[in-house]
Amino acid sequence: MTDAEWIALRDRMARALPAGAFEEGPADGVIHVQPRSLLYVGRYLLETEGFDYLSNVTGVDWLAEGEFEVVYHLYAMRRGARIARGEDPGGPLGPLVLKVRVPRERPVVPSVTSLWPSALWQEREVYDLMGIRFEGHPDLRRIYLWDEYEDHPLRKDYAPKED
Amino acid sequence: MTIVVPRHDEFRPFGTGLIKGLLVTMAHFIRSYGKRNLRIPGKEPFPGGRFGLFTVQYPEERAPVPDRYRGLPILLYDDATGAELCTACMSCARACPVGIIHIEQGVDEAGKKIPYAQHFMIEYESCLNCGLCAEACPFGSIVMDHHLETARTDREGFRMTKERLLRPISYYAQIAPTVWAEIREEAEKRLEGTIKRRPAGVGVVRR
Amino acid sequence: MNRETAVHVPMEVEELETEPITLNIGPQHPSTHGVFRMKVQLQGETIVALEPILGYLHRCQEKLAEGHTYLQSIPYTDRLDYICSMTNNHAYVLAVEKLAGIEVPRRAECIRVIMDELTRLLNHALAVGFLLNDMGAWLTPVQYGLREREKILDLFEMASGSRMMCNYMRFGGVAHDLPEGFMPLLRKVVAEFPGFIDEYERFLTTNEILLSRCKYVGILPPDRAIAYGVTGPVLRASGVPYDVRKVDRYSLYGEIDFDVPIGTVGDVYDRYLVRIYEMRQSVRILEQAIRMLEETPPGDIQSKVPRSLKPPIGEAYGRIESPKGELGFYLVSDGSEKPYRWRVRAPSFVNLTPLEEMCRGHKVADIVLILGSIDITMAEVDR
Repeated sequence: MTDAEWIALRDRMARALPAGAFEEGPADGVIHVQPRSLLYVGRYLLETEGFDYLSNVTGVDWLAEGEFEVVYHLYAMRRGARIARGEDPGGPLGPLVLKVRVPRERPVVPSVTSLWPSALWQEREVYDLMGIRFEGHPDLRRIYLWDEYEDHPLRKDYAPKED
Repeated sequence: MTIVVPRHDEFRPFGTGLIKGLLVTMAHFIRSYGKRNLRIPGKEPFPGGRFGLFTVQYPEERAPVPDRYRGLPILLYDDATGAELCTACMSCARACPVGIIHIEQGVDEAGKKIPYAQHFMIEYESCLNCGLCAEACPFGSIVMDHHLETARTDREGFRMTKERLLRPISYYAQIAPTVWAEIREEAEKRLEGTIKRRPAGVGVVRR
Repeated sequence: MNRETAVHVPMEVEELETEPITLNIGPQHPSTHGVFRMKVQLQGETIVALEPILGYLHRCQEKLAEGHTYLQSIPYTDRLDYICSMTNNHAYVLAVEKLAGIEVPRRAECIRVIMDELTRLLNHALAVGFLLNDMGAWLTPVQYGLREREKILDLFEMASGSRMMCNYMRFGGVAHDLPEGFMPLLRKVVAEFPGFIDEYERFLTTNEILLSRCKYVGILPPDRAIAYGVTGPVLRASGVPYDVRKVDRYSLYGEIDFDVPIGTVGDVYDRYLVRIYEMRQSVRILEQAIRMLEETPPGDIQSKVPRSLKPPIGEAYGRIESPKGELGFYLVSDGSEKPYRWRVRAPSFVNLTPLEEMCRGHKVADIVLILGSIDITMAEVDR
């Protein structure tokens, strides 16, 4: 996104969303959201701003700060598709980075599968490897490791057990 | 800007597509008896004489590999003096992604470290053939061999110690001339310095 | 054999009583493109539900990479999607260059574009061949594709040292310059490739068996494709011309002229044809890239980067259009030489999400066809 597009988007969001729903991150294009307003902000971004393509859902384990962070990368696909046709996209194309932080003792984040179904398997992967639960996910179970496995390997305090 | 791919919905008599396909394969079949697939010495388009899909009568002949081919790592020593190029600087051990290079630096009588590898061991069975060790070596000592037939029946035979890893520079210059030409000058210059800093007789291969 | 002569069913019996059965298309299967397991619920031969089970090739590369330096992870990116190792390398070095702010000299960018498009040709030739293998045309189309692949793999071996695990791209450029004999051979391959694509089309595209098996099978409507985050030829066959090369204009794609093939219906036949047309566009890009490489004065192929790279604290998401879709790397750096978080956004993983939706209502024999048309590599799905 160009600087002008980011500033315009930020101002539009500040006007349309209630105060405190989101915070801008230090870098351009980054938005920090509280878990309770994730779906509200997400619905606004999907329906009004046209960010219809959720590219990537990642979990990051900030062990020193005692928090988990879930990072979403959003792009505007219908606008981006206009470029190949030779037309002007008419808006920001992304990436827009949404970040949600939750404490390590209670890692629960609302699931965005109702807005962007591409998160179906990616959230399962974050649950499997990091242990972050996604509320509202239709089928939250392990995707890579077998169901009886108990630990979460990508956590920073994971110690492989000696068999 | 965008091309819409056709659907090929128009009417064509049933079987024309199949016949067209069979004609293509039949043409190849008939052509295979012609001169195209015979190797004519002197008219080879590609090093080794073949291009595309070809058959090599394996144990009697081998398909050539290009200079840069990455097989398994070997160590080099100078033909004239017999001096090993390796100084145990640990660059390759640090660069290896799987950590299979194990080096112990030699010490002289006073206990000071000298540029000579007392022990050098590579676990060949875990090598990724990535070539990062050869890229990291500042002395041109560890390079990638072209050896392809590396199967063994015993696991211990894969722990390659220094004697089994050493090859003369002439061997490497013959199998990979362009790669050796790139690192040769620097390697020879540094070898002179290395020989000076080693005690006499240390690090020399007796063959 | 038509129904009247098959079995004489007495007029009183309207429908046969059937029970749904659960069929396990197990991890070892020649047509599942790797170790992939599906539990399929069938009513007769019609699919009612399909549950994919992954993880048989899971190596947790993301955790391994946290123990390696940035440079040591490059051979591991080769092994993500083992067919397209050059594009995997490119996506990773692009992400690290974004993170650390490294510039790339023009000659290296030209070489990268050439390697990327050669990889696209490789992958699509193989994908189309194996789609037909799944259909039952046992290995003949595969061999036509492999014949062309051998020429390109020879090129890769000359340049990087290995046919499949190339390990060729480095931060700020490429590892080695192109050797002598590369350019004449590359020109020969590019000159002969359109003839090969025409031959491939001549014996495949209007083949009646292919038409009847592929048309209207596995339809994915465009709005479902966008919602599921599908990218690559699968998305473009559904009618959405989203191509990361056109949107992000990374590397030299901003200066190269090429078209984006799209389909109309979004079935297996459209995906097959989109790949064929993309091969033609790749040849067009290669011709332009070769010209750009010749016009660039000879220079560095890698900018000066410290041997042990320590990027500043921050994060970056670098993505490219790999032959299977959008391949992205999300890297978080804490200032040390090892990454804090190393994440691969694998296109095959996300493209596989709508598999159940595409397969419902079709017959069992169509599952392998639909799976082959999505073109997955399990090493990328499972990482």
